[in-house]
Amino acid sequence: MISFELGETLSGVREMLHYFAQTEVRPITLAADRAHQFPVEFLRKVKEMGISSGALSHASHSSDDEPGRARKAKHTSRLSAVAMEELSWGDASFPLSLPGPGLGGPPVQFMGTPEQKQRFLGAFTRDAEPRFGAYGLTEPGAGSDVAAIRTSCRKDGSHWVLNGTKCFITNGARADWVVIFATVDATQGRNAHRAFVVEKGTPGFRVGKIEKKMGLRASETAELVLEDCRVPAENLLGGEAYYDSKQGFLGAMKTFDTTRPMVAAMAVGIGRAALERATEHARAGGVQGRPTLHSAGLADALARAARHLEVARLLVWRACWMADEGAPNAREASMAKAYAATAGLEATSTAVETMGAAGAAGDSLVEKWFRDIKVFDIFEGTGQIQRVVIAKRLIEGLKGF
Amino acid sequence: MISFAPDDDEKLLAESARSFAQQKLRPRLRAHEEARSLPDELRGEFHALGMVGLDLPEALGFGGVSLLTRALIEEELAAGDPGAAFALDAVGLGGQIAAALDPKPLAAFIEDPQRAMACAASEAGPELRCAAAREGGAWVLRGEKRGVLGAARAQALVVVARVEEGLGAFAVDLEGAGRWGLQIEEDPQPLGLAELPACAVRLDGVRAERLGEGDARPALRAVVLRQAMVGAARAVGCARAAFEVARRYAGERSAFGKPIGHFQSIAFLLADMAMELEGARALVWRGCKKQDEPSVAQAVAQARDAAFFVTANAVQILGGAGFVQDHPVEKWMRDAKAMASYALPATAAQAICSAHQLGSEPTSDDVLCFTAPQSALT
Repeated sequence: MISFELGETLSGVREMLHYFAQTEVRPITLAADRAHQFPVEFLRKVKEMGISSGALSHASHSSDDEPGRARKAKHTSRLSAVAMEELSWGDASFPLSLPGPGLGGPPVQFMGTPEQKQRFLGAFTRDAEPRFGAYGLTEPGAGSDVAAIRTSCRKDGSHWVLNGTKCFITNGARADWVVIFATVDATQGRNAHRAFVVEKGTPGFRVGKIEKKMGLRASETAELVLEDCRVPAENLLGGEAYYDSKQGFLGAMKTFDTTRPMVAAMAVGIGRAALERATEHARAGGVQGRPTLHSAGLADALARAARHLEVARLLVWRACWMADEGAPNAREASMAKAYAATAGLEATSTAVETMGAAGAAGDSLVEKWFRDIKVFDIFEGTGQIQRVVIAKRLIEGLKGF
Repeated sequence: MISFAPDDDEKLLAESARSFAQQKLRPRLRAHEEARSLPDELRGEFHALGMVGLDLPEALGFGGVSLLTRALIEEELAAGDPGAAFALDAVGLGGQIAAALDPKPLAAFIEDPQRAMACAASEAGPELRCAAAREGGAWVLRGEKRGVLGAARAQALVVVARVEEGLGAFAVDLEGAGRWGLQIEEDPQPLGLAELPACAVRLDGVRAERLGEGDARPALRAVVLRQAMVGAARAVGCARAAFEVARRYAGERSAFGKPIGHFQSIAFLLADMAMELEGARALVWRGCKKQDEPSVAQAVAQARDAAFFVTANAVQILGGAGFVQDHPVEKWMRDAKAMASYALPATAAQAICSAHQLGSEPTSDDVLCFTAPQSALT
């Protein structure tokens, strides 16, 4: 039956996380933005409470070789979306800073051997310390064109030797390990890609600069450098046999079908926060009941943004529902991501304009949300890349541009 | 729990509406447009499918399905041809009003597949407001109405008119003596929805039967929201029809040595059209489920925006071929614009969204806005 009711479980999670976002995240959000990080004490507490990227990630519950488990948690993706929206309503940097495997979780789940899953994902429950995983695909010369990565890998005895630079890696500096994508032959495109779990402290592996960003400042974004970095052969995700078929690149891409709706849900959360704040401001400021051209224009813009945000939320829910049903959802995931990024930008931009000077002030949260939202049309595939994904599934014979 | 899966019986109904629309409406769309009506035979077939007044109460002999189920079917019909979807709705807004206030005029529609009911709701202008008065024990209507879809060929007419208490609804029998004092003028060249052409209706002492008692505004408000969702579902169907034609065309038409859909300018536009189409559909489904004023207004505004965006860009993708009448997309662009003026016009829907956004309750006049630009009945 078509339904837009959350049901008991999701409502409960939403209520709980909303309370958490309101009472624990919002009070420190501006300070975290300025400090470019959340306090470690706070993250330790978060971990104690059982809130982690693993617990909220779809991939942690449904991998290919665990169909039984996937069936048990059959609304995981929808639940994650609801959770992501709520936490991002508090501060979108927060879900990105959650202790746990983060974006590194899905490739380990999708591609890893049972031993690798045990070894790398097990680390997060070992002790009380907030620990992180990360995902390293992007390079200075390979953003949207991910097939163009140049980081090289070559087998040398029981090790692989990696050389190259990764950039814009979320939690890259603090991560216990990073899934690094490299190529055995840069002229061979996707088929030559290999994915490694590179652990902190591996000789030849170091952190470059930490980025200063427009928004999402409390989330760490690092450059990672690999110089004759020797990675043990057992850290090649899936083992060598895995790459005999053309799965290496697919593994990297499959990650996105689960992460894109989550990123979209985060954008919805930011947009909602901004619209709520601006709407309160408009109501309190007496815009209501004053039929001036200005107030009519504001009300119209706010209502339009709210409507587009509602569309975005439904597109997210649809992509997640499909994921939960085990249906291929690449097209729908990209739609959710592309639409939510635009709707979120409209919402935050309208919020700043509604509040005027108060909205642009540095102690105003809408100012922060406006800075935070832009990257949602860039990371996890730009809006243009989402349209490539969608178009390939719409137009006969279209393989690429 | 959140789900986008229609029920089995919904799928079945939608499937039968789809095959009817694709086999009977689409191939004959230009003929219907030219005739400015649908053939009796076709209307008979639709009646035989049991699809007239599908969401009206079972107790009255109709289908009694949910508004959402109705929306699924209306999308299918409109995806065949939106003008035909309007013309097949033999009871329309008038039927919804009668069902809510006094179902007597509906009885004849169960048996007779050729009957049609028009609804005169929006005023022609402030100086021509339609009012009802009692004269010699009977109700008599005076005034002028515009944008009355299909009135020239209908057998029954529901008129919304001012009464002492506020607004009242009246039934006029167009077959009998009721025609006395009535003048109906059909628009010979409407922008769109030519299959159910808009008419100007002048009432000069027309005898009518009152439906219900007291101020009908609360009931009318609920009816308008329902009919607005039906219209929104048709807007989605209209957009879908145009999108599919444009998508196919982009795969077949070559320029500069490859299909035009393989250029990003066209491919990205199609991706945006698909997003707007599917996003609007989701909002329409939600509006049908929730049925509260803000959700309905949002869905209507979104569906209207999407229908215009998608149909206009479908014409653009077909280029010159889209502008000429060999392809249907130019018709659907006109239909999309024409239908945006009925049962919650796009502008009214957006205004209702704005009012709710700032926490003020829209007035009945804001909501009881049947066609643009007459934004109020009173």
